[in-house]
Amino acid sequence: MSLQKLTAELYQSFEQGNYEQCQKLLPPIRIELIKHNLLVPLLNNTTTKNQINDLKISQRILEIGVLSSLLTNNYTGFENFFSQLKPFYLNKKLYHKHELNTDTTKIISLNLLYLLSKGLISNFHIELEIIFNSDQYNIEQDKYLQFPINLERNLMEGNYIKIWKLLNQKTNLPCIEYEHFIDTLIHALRFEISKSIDKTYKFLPINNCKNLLYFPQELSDSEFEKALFEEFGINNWRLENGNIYFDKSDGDIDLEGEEESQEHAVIKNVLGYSEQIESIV
Amino acid sequence: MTETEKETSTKTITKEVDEQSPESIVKEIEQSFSLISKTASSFDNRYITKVFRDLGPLRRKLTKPILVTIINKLYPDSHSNKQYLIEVLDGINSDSGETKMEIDHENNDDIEVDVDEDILIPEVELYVHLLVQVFLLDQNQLEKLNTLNDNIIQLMKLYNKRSLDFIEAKIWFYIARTKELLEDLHTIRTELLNSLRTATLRHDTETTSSIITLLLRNYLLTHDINQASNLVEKTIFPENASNALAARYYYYLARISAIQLDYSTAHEYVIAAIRKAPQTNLANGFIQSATKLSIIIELLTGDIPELKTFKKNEIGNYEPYFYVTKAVKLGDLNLFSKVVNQYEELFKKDDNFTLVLRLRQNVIKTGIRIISLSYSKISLKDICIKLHLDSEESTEYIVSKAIRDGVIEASINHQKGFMQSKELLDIYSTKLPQSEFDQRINFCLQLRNDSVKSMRYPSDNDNKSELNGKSDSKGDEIDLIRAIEDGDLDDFMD
Repeated sequence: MSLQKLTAELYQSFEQGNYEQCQKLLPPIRIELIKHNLLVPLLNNTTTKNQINDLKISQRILEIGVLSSLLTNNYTGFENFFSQLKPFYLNKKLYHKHELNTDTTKIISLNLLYLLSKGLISNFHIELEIIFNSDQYNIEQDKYLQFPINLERNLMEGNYIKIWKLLNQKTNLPCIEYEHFIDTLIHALRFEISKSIDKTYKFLPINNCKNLLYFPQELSDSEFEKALFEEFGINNWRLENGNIYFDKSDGDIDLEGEEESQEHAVIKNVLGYSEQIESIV
Repeated sequence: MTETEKETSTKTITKEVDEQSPESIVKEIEQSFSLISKTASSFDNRYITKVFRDLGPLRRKLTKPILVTIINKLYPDSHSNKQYLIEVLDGINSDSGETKMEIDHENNDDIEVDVDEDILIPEVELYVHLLVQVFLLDQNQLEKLNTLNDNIIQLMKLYNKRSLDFIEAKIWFYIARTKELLEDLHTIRTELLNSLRTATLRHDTETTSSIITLLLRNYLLTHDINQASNLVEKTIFPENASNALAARYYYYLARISAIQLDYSTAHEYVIAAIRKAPQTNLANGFIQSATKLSIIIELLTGDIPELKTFKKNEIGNYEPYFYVTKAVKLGDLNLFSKVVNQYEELFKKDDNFTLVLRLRQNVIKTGIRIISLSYSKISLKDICIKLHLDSEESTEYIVSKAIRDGVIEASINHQKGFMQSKELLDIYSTKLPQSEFDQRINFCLQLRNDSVKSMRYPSDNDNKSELNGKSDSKGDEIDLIRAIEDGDLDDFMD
């Protein structure tokens, strides 16, 4: 099949919401793109207007690839397509106008969310660095880009209540694709909160704890306990008499061993100094 | 950035320099030729260091006629390289049209050239290319420089001599600089990577270190942190690279780690960069950017930089950084947002804006820390009011996060809604003093070892030349020592 035909078919199935079909169509299209030297924008294929138009089409194809992979829960596909899109977004010849609330910023922000939900904070910041320093985006006015950035900021501050509000009202979301990350993000959020709780309180009524973790009150205590143990790998919380006690005893056991290793460290250090002094004298 | 600032300053100086007669400049250049050929024969790279020390002042005196004279003398007419060298120089309207006449006239006089036989050794040839490069850069003839660069790259590939290392390193610097000014950062990467490979295989420390820093700069200018950190992982920066290059390398490393949220490593690197930077006013621009970065990194690690950091250099605009530090120190969110808004442009210019934005959470944390130090027990509501937070619930989460991150030692009583600070332990019963002591001793020992390592001992070559009793060697030696005392500063002349 020719490239034009395949592309037309792809557009069609994407508009109809048939994302499975898109996924099937994409690999042959990619091969065709490589044959026509259109998969990567290079110096030699961005000179004429026609070439740039062609590349715009391949960009659109890849964007469909990103979105359809996401909507069919194909996360490796999502990563692959996004990394192929990156050279397009960075190419100054393809992008001279301001991007605001377009598919481009949407996809970039989806990638940011993806990194956040995976907990890859340092990659998140690397991407952010590129976005902040490129003048083709207007971050403050872009509803798509604002979302992940605010999310990360609140997460680092510990302002979890804001995140919960952001995530919990579907009307807050700029587009439907975001819903895909909500579950993972909520899980990540609860995990963060549970880690904080563990260090902060001596004991806590179970009901309050459910509140803090945004679990529904109707959830029975045993189910709650099970969720805690299984999902978050918590094992030092004791549920007793309607309270949760946070065991800090592991610390005491460690102390003895630590003291010993401390003595070792002192001896090692002093020996090290004497060795050095010997070499100096 | 810093280089650009200096560029403009050199240009203003150019005009002020008094008219030195062209003949003497030509002589000066020829003298450096003889020094360079000495390097080639003796394998002592210190002669080149001396030549480069004089390059700074020389650069301001270069004019088109002088260069043409030099090239005419150097190359026989038939030589292929001569053609393009003259070509690029052609058509530049040098402001000293009158001197041209003199030169032409003088050309006939034929100053006796004693270096005639060995004149076309590669070292001298590349040095001339370097001079032309520098001249074109100062004249802002970027397009011409760019075409010349392609020729130079081809030329450099022909040679493989260790005595060329210093010159090649310098030439690469100007090639990369040209591309940067032309805002064409992508095309040069392949060449840089290729020559990095060659240089590494030849154990050519100068070029290797120079190219690594250039590549890092290139990546950072396009904000391609991933590439940059990949490069750092895959290459080994030569240990005995010159201080100026090492300082740059550490600065870039600091930047990379800071963006990757690895603040403690970044802090180490930026301190190393500041320490390694030459302590002259030529390196001011570099030290300023490094200091700015170090202020931000220090704030991000949760420390407050000392006041004298801001006062150390009279020149340079630390004002925004001072106010940011103040906001963090006071834990005042309102002041912080005000400062960020007010100085946004300046932070963006310094490439520190994203890092500054991350400080917001630190402002809150220091706020909490101050409260926890002053109160042993305080209600969450009061904290919320004091720190201008949104609600009591969010305060609880924020405080609890601060406890988890180890900012404060405290616990929260959820039912009664207050935070209780833990009593401060006797610090001398912990191992903190011990580790602090260990750190300092290690630093002193490291300093001593480094200084022992960097002492210079006479090499075998020197002994030989002294035995031969060459009369000039003593005078040279003194000159060289002077050059070394001045350090490798010339790198920062660029």
